[in-house]
Amino acid sequence: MTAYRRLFAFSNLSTLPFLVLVIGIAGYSWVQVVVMAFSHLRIEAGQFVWSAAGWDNFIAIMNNPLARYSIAVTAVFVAATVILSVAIGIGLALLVERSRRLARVSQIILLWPAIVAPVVVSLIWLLILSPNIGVLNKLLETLFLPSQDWLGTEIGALFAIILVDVWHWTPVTFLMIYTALCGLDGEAIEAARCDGASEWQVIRHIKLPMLMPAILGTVFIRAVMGVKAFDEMYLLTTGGPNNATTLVSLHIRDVFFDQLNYGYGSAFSVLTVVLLSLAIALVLAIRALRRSRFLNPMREANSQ
Amino acid sequence: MASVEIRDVKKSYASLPVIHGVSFDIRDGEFVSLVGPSGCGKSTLLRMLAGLEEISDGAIRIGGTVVNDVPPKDRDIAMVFQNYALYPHMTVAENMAFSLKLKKAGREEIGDKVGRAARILNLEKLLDRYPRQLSGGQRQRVAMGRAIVRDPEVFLFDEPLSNLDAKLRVSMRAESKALQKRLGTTTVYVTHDQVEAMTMADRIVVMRNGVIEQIGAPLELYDRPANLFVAGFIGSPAMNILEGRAEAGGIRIGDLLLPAEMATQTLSGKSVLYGIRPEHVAIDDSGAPAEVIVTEPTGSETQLVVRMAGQELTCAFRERIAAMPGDIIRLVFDGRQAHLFDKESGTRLP
Repeated sequence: MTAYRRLFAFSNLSTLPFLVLVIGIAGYSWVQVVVMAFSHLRIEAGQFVWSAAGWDNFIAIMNNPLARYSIAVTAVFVAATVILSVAIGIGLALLVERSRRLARVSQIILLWPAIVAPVVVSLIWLLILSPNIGVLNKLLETLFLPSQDWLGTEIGALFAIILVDVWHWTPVTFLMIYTALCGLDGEAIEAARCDGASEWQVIRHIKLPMLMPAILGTVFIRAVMGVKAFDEMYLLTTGGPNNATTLVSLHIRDVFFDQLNYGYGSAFSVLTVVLLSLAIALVLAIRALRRSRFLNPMREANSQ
Repeated sequence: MASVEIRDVKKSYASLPVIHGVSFDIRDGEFVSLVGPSGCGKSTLLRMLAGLEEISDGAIRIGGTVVNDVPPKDRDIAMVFQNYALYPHMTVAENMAFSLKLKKAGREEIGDKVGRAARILNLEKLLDRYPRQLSGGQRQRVAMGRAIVRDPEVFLFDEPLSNLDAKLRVSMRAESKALQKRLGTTTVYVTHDQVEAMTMADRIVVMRNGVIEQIGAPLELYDRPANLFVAGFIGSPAMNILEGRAEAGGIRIGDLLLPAEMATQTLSGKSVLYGIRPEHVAIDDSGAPAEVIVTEPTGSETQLVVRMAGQELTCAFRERIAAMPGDIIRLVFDGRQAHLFDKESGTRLP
């Protein structure tokens, strides 16, 4: 084969169409957003008018209390939804794996929330949480407990959007971890039982460590989903009350589409991506350090 | 260390019976091999011994105690799996120490026992490695090490050598046997390889379709197979089986009268199967003519497939034979080594 033919062999170029498509669409708009983040943009006579802004947009974000607050709310929201949905997903996966008779049925039922459209999810939860007609308050009244304006208080609303997101997306974490659990080496688990491990010790020392790559992957995906979360919250609380549930995504939407502050909105988008990337890099770095003998010379003795 | 008793043990999955009531005893310190073709129930029986499968009926006793409802962790057995089943997230040392840590053994005791097992199995330099960094033979030794540190009542092996290459298998065979004799631990060893069973075990249990065909010392099975199945399963190449009719002087097959030590008198006139091992056939000018079909020189011996009185048989000779396909050679059979089986039931006659 000539060098020319080797270079253009199918095996080398097989992914090229997809790369072009991804770079062409995502890359172009990403570059556009970055450029906008460093620009002042006005619309005059239906035309964008660009002028260089340097770090102005980012400084404006830092000086905006609502922006700082939205980052904090998002951090709480992401941490809570990731921890809860992954923990519940692991628990459900371990339970379904043990269940013999109901395994198939429970898989299908547990996946159901994930296929419901976000609009419907919001509607379902509005009907549950509504102060006057909501099922939850009716239930509390029946039990002679004081009813609450769930979406009307700041803590209640934050709690509500976390609950809705966990309800909606735990099926995805369940499915990912359950799939990984079914793929574990069954012999290693049986070997642990023969080695004297109780069911709990098998989970703690064998199943969970072997599931770690899947759990970590799920955490990443759920973290990205949490930062992007928008639709249910927009429909449930629209960021209120008192901006208590203004996630980064809601804030960006408000600035970009309502206030038409394109530079600021783009800068905030870029900042969000950078912060998320840093968070992921931090987790990976901690993991790599924990593995290295340099940081942990005693791991052999105390790893159990 | 302990003896094991298996009494009328049955196993069925839903309504499909796979083990139909097997019984045998294993003495304290004995090495017993369960052997048979795939699907004969040998692995299922081993897993029932380990407590990984429920026992449908019957009883298993380890050290005199019925263990039917005892979970694996409380049976004090150590099992070595076919694919080694090492814990991928633990180093070699951690793999071997796992059971001791569960027992809350002290750090010193763990260090001692793991160190001793590592010395016995030559794993000292690999203690910090992860399973993925080991070769097949090394993984197999770690799995053995994990069993040794337990110092259990019974070792259970489920085809532990079947994933190794031929040369390594032979050396691990000898090592494992020597190790078992040294530790003196009661051992149940499942394999489909009759050579492995023959070379390692004190006694062999031959199984087929969920029943025991024969139990005995390796050479007992070789010298006096109880039925056609055992005759064909033990020994390589397999025993030749020829159809014939018993007569006063021997077994009549076509024009030939083959010698047989057994009391053919009483069987006279009966249709029988005549079994002769390939190594019990010799070339002699006084013998019966046979046409050579295939010659297979293996170096240490020469194997010939020949046709005789319309039936094919395999012969093995220690010396080199320069026969070509189509040649006629003359063969004599060693009547003292011949076996007779009932044609209908396949069981051994006298």
